[in-house]
Amino acid sequence: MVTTVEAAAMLQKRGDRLFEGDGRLYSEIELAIARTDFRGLAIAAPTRVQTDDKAVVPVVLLTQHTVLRTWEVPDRYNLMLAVTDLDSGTVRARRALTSPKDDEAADAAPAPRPPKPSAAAGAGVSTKVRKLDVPVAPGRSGAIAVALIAFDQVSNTARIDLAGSSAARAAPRAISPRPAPAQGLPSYAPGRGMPKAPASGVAFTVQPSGGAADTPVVVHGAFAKVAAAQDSLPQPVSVRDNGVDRQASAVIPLTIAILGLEWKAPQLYPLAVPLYGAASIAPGQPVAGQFATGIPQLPPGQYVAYVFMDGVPYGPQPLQVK
Amino acid sequence: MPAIIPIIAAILIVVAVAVAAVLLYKALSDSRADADKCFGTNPVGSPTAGCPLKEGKVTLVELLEVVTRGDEGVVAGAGAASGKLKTHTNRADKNGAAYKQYVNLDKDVEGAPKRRPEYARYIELKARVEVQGGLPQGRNVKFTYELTKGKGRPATLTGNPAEGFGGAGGAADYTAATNAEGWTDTVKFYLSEFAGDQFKITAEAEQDPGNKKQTAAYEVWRKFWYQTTRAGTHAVPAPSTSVTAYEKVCAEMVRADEVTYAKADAPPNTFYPGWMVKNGGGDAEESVIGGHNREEFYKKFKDEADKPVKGHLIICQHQWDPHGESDLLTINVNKNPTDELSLTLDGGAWNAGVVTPALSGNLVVVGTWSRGADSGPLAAADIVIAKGRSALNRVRVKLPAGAPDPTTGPVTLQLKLAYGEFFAGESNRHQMLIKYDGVDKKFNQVVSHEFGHGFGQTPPDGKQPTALAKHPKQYTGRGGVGSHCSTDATEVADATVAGGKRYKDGTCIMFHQVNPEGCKQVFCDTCDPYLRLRDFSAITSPS
Repeated sequence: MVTTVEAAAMLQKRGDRLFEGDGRLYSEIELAIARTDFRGLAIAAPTRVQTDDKAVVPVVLLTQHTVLRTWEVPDRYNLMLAVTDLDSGTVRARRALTSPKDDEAADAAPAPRPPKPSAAAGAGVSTKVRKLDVPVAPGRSGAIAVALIAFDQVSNTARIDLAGSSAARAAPRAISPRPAPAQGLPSYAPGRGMPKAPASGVAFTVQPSGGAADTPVVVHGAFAKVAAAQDSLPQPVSVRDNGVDRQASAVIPLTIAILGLEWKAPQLYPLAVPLYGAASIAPGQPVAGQFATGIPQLPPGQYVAYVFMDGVPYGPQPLQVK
Repeated sequence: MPAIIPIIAAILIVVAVAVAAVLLYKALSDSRADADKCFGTNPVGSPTAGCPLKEGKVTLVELLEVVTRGDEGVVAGAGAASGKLKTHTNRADKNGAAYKQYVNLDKDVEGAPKRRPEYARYIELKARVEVQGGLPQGRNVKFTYELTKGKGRPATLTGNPAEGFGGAGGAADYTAATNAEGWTDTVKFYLSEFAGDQFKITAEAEQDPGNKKQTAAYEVWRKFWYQTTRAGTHAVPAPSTSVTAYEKVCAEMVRADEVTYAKADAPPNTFYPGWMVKNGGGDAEESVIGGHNREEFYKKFKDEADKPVKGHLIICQHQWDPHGESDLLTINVNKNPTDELSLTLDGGAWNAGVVTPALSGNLVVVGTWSRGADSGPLAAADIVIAKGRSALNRVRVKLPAGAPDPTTGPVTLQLKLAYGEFFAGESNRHQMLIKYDGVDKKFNQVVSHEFGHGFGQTPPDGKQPTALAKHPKQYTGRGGVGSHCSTDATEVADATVAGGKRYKDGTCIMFHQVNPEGCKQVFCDTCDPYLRLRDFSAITSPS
């Protein structure tokens, strides 16, 4: 089966023409992709964008699903565009396919979902290539990462260097939310319930509380990565985490994202996770950490959870709340 | 004897000269004393007071509203008619006993010869005195006003939005001196900008105290017009509830000439059978207006100089826009015509459909059939859109001659069609595309709502009139696009909305969602002053 990475490569090999919005080229790509068994979403973006002249980053999105999947999880109401500022680690996310007219003068009776297609019709395959314009601040420099999520499916992540004349720098990192000094959540120290850190990336679990309405959903996670220059703290910081005084030498920004079907935006819970240890951390050095935190309880329903690190969404983890 | 006569004559001449000298001396002395007395209170150069050379009984005889149409004449109604000046026009527009002053319109919208005294912020007045036993010139007349505040007028209304003589926010009174005919100069009084404020103007001559002349009340109003454009076959009611809603905030919504059109006058692809654009629709052709033809309908707006603030209600039965090309559908079929095929339109949008002919351009963007090495094109004629389809994104394909029989083995189709999306309506400044589907309450709320946006409602913080604090019920991002009012709405958790909360069941016209059963069809008490203090001089883009 053609993977997301391979599908993304099929887009990227078209070169800069891909980002000109040429409908004939997109039809040509769709016909080529339709001959493959790829299912999912893939993106391509320029590696570098000059933002002084035009403060948008063109991103080309390829989707290929069965017709049944497009009815069950329509991209129109589920596709989320997630943009990460790689300097600060801040994630912004919203629906990718929006129209300003969707809600204006909203009708009392919005259009109903069409009936489910028959099994034969649902077995058809829908293929689409479209261009999205991702706005950035005019003159912005630095780097962003872009990924798309369609509920339980995720695209590859595209990293884009922004070449602008503005040299805004991210604020120094600080641990957030602060760990519980005595006992409880959050905690960034090794402990029970923490999954084993992967070789690279984020592993995590999500546990619905099943208790009172104000009992949080608990997320345990562990991660490993190569340290970036901005991850290190200028000097170690003392912090008391669940009754133990610790020294933090680096802070890694992560973001937990919760999604339900047809939401207009994911719920985002940013974390700035300390790496404990007095030794200073050099850029390029492999590091690992963990977290346990609570997020607000959700109404009954079916959700998925992701954790973003360095612009990459890890997951999904299904979350059923009864 | 004859010698005495010259002597007597000489004596008489001397006596006469002496008497004349005495009289002349007295007259000059009186005059100088009078001048000295006046100089103390009316310094040289005073524009408002002359020095009466004669005493006399001064009577203020008339206070008039005037207008200049070539020459100056009387405006009868709030002020009296005159025995001295001809009447140019009579005021007719009243709210109860008060005469409406439409402050959002220019007096000369129809040209100076037809200057409209009831338009613009100011009215023009003059008074006249008569003097028995003296000259009328140089008599002082003081003009003042009496304010009855409109509902919800801010406690402090100062500067430009406030009333006054001589200019917006001007003086509380004005004193004018009369000329040789006893007329004062023409005095301008500026009404406030707050709709519903009433003003009576009073004049009183300094030398005729207690004899006041007063106009009837002038009330601050705004006026705008609407033109309805509709298919001749589409019966549309007058937006009477909207008219009433605007009356409550002292804005007159006036019907302009209606424009109707027949299919032959309409641009292409304006009429489709009802079933094609709405599931369960009938066979009759219905008007479909949107991105493919709206510019032609915009041209049906009659630009009338005497109706400078006019909205264009383009009424349609369906508001559709061409929206692009469907996903490429690849599917194997085994019937001819095929069963219903389901196209993914705009990522699976529910408010999208395929119609034939396409709203604009060709229906078939990509269309092929293939089996093995055989293949061929599909054309628009091969796409079957029939009454009774299960959804608007469903079509069948009738394979053309030359295509293999799919019952003997599957045939692969690839299909990409042009499609449209449908909405409740749209506004582009004064051009308002309104869907009317027979529900009058919904229609009226939409008309009121869109004009409300056009007049800057609901103002976000910082965009409200300066005399008013932040609108306490204003919101964005709790549903809808743009700025709206949450009166009586309930905030509910809704994870599908950015921010996680949404308002439901608001009752104000400016609630974000059409709510035909719950909407009170008025601007709520919170919105009321924001409308009353709003400049209605133009219809702008939605707030």
